[in-house]
Amino acid sequence: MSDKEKKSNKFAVISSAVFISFISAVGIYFILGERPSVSESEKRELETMPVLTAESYFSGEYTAKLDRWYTDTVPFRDTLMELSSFIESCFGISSPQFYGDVAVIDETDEGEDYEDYEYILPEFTGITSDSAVEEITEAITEASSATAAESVTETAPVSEITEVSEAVTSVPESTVSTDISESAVMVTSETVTETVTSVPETDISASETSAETTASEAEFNGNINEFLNNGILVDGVDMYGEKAGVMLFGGNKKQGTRYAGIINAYKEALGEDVNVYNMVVPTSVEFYLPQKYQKYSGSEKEAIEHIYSKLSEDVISVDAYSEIAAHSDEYLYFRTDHHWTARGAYYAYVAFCNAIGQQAPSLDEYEQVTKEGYVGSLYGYTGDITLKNNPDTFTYFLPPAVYSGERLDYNTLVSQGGWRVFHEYASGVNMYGTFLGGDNVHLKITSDAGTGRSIVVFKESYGNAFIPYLVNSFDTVYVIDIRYFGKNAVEYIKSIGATDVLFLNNAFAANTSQLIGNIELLYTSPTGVTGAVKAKK
Amino acid sequence: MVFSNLLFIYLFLPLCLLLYYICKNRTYRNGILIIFSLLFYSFGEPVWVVLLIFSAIVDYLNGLFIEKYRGKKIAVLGVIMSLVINLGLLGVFKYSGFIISNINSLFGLSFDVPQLALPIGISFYTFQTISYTVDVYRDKAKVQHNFLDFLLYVSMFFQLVAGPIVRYTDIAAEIEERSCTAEDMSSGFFRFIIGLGKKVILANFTGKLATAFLTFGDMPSSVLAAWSGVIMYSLQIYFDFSGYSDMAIGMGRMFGFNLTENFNYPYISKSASEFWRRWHMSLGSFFRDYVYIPMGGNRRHQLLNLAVVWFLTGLWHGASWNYILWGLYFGVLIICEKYFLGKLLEKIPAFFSHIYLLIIALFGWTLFYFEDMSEMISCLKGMFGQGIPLSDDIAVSELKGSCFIIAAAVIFCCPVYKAARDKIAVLTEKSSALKICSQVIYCVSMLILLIVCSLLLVKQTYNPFLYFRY
Repeated sequence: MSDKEKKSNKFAVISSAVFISFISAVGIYFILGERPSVSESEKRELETMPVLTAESYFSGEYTAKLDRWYTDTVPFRDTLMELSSFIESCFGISSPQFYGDVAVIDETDEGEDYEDYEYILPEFTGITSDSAVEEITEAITEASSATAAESVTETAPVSEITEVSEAVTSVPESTVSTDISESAVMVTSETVTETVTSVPETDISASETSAETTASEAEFNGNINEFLNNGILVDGVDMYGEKAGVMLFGGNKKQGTRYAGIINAYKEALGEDVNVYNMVVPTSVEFYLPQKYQKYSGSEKEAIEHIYSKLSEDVISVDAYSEIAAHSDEYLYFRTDHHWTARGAYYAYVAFCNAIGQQAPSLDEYEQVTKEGYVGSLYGYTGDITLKNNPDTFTYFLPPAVYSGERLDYNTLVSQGGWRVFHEYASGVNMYGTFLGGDNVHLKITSDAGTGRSIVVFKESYGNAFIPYLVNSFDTVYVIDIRYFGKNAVEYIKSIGATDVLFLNNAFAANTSQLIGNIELLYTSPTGVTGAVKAKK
Repeated sequence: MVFSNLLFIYLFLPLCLLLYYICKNRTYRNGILIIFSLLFYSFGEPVWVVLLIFSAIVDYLNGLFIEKYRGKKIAVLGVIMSLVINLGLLGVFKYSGFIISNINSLFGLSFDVPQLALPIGISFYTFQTISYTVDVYRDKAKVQHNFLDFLLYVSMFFQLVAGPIVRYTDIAAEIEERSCTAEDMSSGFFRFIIGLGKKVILANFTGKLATAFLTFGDMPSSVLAAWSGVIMYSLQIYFDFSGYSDMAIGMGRMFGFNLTENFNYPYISKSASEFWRRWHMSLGSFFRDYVYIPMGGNRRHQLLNLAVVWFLTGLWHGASWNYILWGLYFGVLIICEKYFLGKLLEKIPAFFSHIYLLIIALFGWTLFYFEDMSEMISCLKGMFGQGIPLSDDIAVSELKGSCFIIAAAVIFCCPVYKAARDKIAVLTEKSSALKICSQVIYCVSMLILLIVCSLLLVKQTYNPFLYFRY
């Protein structure tokens, strides 16, 4: 140091020292500290450290990814994020916050060319099972080599990305444990790619095993992304005395017609021997959105009525709406999550019992279990501290019946051993996984109901909370997630000799093109959704 | 890489400072700065870093050439070379797409429009090297014989990507001989953190609102949203840009450089002319010294000179007609002020001339923001309330949800911070205990500001909405 530097006043020396040591110390910690690989609250896998190659360097991808990785996987990320959200909440007066592309809903907009729209069932794709097997394997290999949707974006249009990632997520098995246990570790894409490519293409069981590890990548309990929506409103809504978030409904009637069309096709294919039920259930936005914000959300009631009006008389419509609406002062939906509660699902069950000619047991006959501190998907998607500060109480009801579950392989539907209906250890952001252990699992539940009836339920994540009630009404319950299924549904229903079939979807799902597309695929493809993914390309 | 980035603040900067101060002699220190600067630049431009070096070599040689032939006519060739090559680089990388697509639409042709990504900072460093060669030719600057020292001038990372446009003459002496006292270091840190705060807190949050309000389908959602959007954008662009300049100046100080100031509270101006003396000062003075005055300044065809300068000022900001429109808009206003409006503005109460400036600045930013002309027109229509409601719930709740930030942004557009510091300095002059106390409070608040900014930066990758709608 020069003489001049030595003469500097003490304050300047001390403050310089403070700042240099601060950024250096934090810098060192950021290098040595443990970096997370998964964000629990955002429900996503964080960036991975990029590999340096000449190509990735000169394209600028390496440095860009390195930068993203460094920030994305900063030690204690979720905690820092919470602090960050808290700071942001101090930037203004707490007021309703809109997330996503929220637009005023034009009720006259019934979907493009709605007037002329007539539902035409897509043609049977007719691929053989053998080729389908190979295709599934291929789809898995491809999808796992392109982990982040982002990296795929460069080479494939978006529609394909969703399909591919679904193919991956559709594999059940150990994935479910990721859904429910916080300690479960996700596997990096590198590992997966290696495993997958090392198995012979025809060896489907091997490829499945390896694919198990990838299943957790995108799918947790019901990804909001999947549903056509109009954004999320937080803090403008009160539910059961606390501030809450709701997902704004943005359906259109054309999709509703399409949904009804495919359900009708199922009924026609299944014939008189099988009862086909359809139940589209409302979500929280329908009952708790204040009047002044109604213009930002479409009416689910109208959307549901529209679908029901397009259903053929042979399909039995279940009016869950009225039953739920009659109890809307009860805790039917989560404040911090886009799902309904077990109580909400119970009233849908009551409505369903009316439709099947049974009497639902009173809730008092169930054993009630309660968990505190649930902060769900709406927080994950908005990061809004209001939700974090108003956690939900998570309650579920153990049915008064003797029942046991077993898990089925998602393609072959071969039993894979016992499976609990309630996963009482599911905690944190994954608490909704208490029901069935999350999505992407196919179940067969056997009970002592003694009604002589067996039912196949096609559902998305709303169904998870509903399924357990069915053990009092059916001897056998087959649970199929619409988004992940490797067989032709009609053949499947016939082959197991089910007496009843229920399509259970929330209003968003029944208006979402992609989901309806999956129901169509289950109908038209001999290999279900997962096998058809590849064929469709 | 940008300054408002965890990797930069917590890895690049401390490492650079450490290695820099481990070295004792100037050559090594300059070497460290060059290495880090090229690293910094290649982080964002792994390929086009060669352009930067190329531009430096060209003007280094031009300087030598001019020196060799000083006094002879041929020396001017050095200047011509510099202009042709640097403006050629700008032309190819920044304007070729724009020029060709205009030619296509004008003559109905269909040349392939080149899709060259604009190399970061090219608009800044080409201007710097041009200014060097011209200054050498005018004998205002001494020729630099050491290429590395010249490369340092061109590539210094803190002013490389977003200015200020540093004149060689301003820092020639410091490249060869400079010192950094503890005062320089601490004030450099403070300045850096203030800049960071401007960028990460004020610019980013007003920017978020601006994007929310100004991204619309056919029309803005309400008159309130249109005006708020434009106001938020005005705040964003000021804090973004001046925050960057603050960070650059602060870091310069940490390494012993005194860079020129670039902003001087532009929004407190009372006329467009004054605004441009306070906004991006290094660019304004560049055009003054290297275009306006050589063309004849106010001595001959002043109108033409002004028109050219403002056309170029607009064009410099981007290869799109709206920037040219924006430049000419200010050109027209400044010409009007020169001939008659200026006298009027002086006569009326200051309050009204402030309002005048704010309004023309807001409309100026409306031109600047929209590259798409039809969107621009929709926004302007919206601002005048054509066919849209006065207010809407989303706009109101967005504004409420960020009201303190907006208030802070408006306050910090005025020189309150400087006034407060001066006031405190006067108050604490007599008592050393008070002085220490105020210094400690200042230091602690800067540290808190740094932590807050860092936390907000963690959240910048938070983006679950990326694929919100399929």
